Amino acid sequence: MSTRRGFLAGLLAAGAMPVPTWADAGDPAYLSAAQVRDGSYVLTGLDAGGAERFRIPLPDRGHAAAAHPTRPEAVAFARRPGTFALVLDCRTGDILATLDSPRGRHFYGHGAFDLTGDLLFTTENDFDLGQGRIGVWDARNGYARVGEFASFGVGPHEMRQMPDGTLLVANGGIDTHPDTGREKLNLPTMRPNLSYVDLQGRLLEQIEPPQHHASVRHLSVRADGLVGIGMQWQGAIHEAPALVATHQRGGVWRDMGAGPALNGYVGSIAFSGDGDRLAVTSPKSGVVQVFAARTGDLVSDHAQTDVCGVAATSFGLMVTDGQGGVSRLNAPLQKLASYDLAFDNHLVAITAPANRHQQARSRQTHSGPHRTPKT
Amino acid sequence: MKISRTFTAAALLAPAIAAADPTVDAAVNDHILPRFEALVAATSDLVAADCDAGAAWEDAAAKWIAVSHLRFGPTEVDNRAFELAYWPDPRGATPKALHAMLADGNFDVSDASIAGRGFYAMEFLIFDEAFYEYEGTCDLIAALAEDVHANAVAIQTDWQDRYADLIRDAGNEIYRDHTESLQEVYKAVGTGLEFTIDQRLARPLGTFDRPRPARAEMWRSGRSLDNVSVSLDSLTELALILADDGIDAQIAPLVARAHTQIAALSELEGGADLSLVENPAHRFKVEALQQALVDLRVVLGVELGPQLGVIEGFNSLDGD
Repeated sequence: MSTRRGFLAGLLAAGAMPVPTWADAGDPAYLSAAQVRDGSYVLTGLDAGGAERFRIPLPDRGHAAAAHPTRPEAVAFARRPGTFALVLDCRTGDILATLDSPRGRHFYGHGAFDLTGDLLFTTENDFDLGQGRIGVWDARNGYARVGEFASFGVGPHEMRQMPDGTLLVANGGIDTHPDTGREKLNLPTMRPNLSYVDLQGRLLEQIEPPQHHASVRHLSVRADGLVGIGMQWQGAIHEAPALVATHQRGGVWRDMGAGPALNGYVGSIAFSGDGDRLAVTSPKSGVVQVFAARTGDLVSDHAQTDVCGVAATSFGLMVTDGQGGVSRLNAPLQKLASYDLAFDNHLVAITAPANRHQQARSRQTHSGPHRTPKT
Repeated sequence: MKISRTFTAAALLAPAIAAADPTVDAAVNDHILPRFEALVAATSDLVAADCDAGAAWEDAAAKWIAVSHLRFGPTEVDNRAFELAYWPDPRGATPKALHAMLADGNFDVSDASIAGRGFYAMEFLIFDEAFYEYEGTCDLIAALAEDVHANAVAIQTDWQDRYADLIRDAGNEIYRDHTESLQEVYKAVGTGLEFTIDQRLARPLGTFDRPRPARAEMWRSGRSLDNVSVSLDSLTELALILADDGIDAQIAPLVARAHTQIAALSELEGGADLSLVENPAHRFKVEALQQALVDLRVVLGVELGPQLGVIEGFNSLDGD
């Protein structure tokens, strides 16, 4: 395996063969972890119409994935508190590299590449200290671990790349330890936050949600840097505050919606391709809610059993569910395809046609108050 | 449609009859309220026992275990349940908090870290020699007993004065209808059973190469196995209230199998505190008990859940 990997890496470095692109993997637009009906786990690639382009076996349950910005490589992360992540060649299904979390760390199921695809970042738990860490891996060099830094909170979950190349981390605030599985150890004192961090691990800005029992979990970033935030309430559901928010660096935390309608739980979040809408899913209440990104008004509400994955299409949104459905978010939901799979929590957009579109659009139209100065 | 609307209107106009769902009503009257009442009585005895608290603590701890699955409503107000029971504690926060309190001589328990309060903290003070040398141990035991009792009373009062009606009558902001009330109670059975499987049994089992007996729940007092038994009894009581006869018939033999296994384990050396997980000849008996409970959990999920209108989805159960 390592020989082959070395061989491939050598060829790539030497430019001796054409550099593979996502087109070589059938031009999938999305990645999703899933469970097959026989109980086994896979990473699937779906195209923009919801057709399956590949299915690669995983040794255990995945969670989210990260797509390399140019090469047809996907990193599939094990579900919390997993200790492995696999770098997969999406053309062949080959495992190009295995990331093992260092001793004393486990993964949280999410990670993000930098803009160039040279470095991969992973959210991790230093479980003896109960502190979140960000692992740094060199994608140019077989995904060797090259460093780590603080996540600036406890229980980091999803992380994203900002348009300016910096990183965004959702520190859920919940302390867990692998010895106690997924048991939550610090609910009375939990303090979630959203942290903006540069690639050297310096904290640029941090903000906490208004209520400390709202665990900050899921993120979506618009081309102009507006951040969509999905939270999970750790308390009685009828007391849940708004669990969807937006934030822009230097700005205020802006809540939207009502937590009880989401059963206190946001499973995934995504801006629409045109950037105008922000969608959240709640598998616990079986709904997708769509908000106007600008006003925070709830614009539509769609029922779908066990719905969780959501991602942008070129203009709109697409959702996946635990019953194998892939649907376009029209009213009503438009079922594009159905598989013998339970799609897992996250639908990960691969390429950036949507982003390119967003960027083009935001250059044209977003000159108003939503434009943030870069730091 | 028209007929049913007329009927509903008539029902609304009728003199207020509490529209309690009989199953939820039975869960509240025959399980929840009496079990919390027993906890209050036992913690009252614990306060009275003062320093010589061993037997009273054991009884009160067992009464807590028997309600430890009822983690909704009154137990979740003001961190009451956490203040009664901080476990599992993988970083050893409880002994640290206790050493700090004893070293400072500050026994104002309401100021203390949650890890230094409740039944698990008291177990250290009563059963762990490391705490015998402090002068203040006895006073701290008394202070913690008062704290535990006050919390138990607060939960019971809250159930009696507020929450019993909310869950029984439904049609309010917490439980929109009886399906939601039933689901709340059903979830308590499932999560309670999972806690026994994943924490009370899986923690000491560790791996074959590395069993972890010192991770058993309340091993210092030798309550580990009995807690499994007490919890199973209480969960069974509640499950049988919820289940129809057909499902009762599936639950009963699995519970009987688990109790036979518990009885056999209790006869063995190292059974009570589960330290026999280190003995390769006996360890499998703990694994078999765990499997019996997993089988029971499957019956609940596959049979009882759907009966109560609960479909457990791949994503909805994930929690991430």
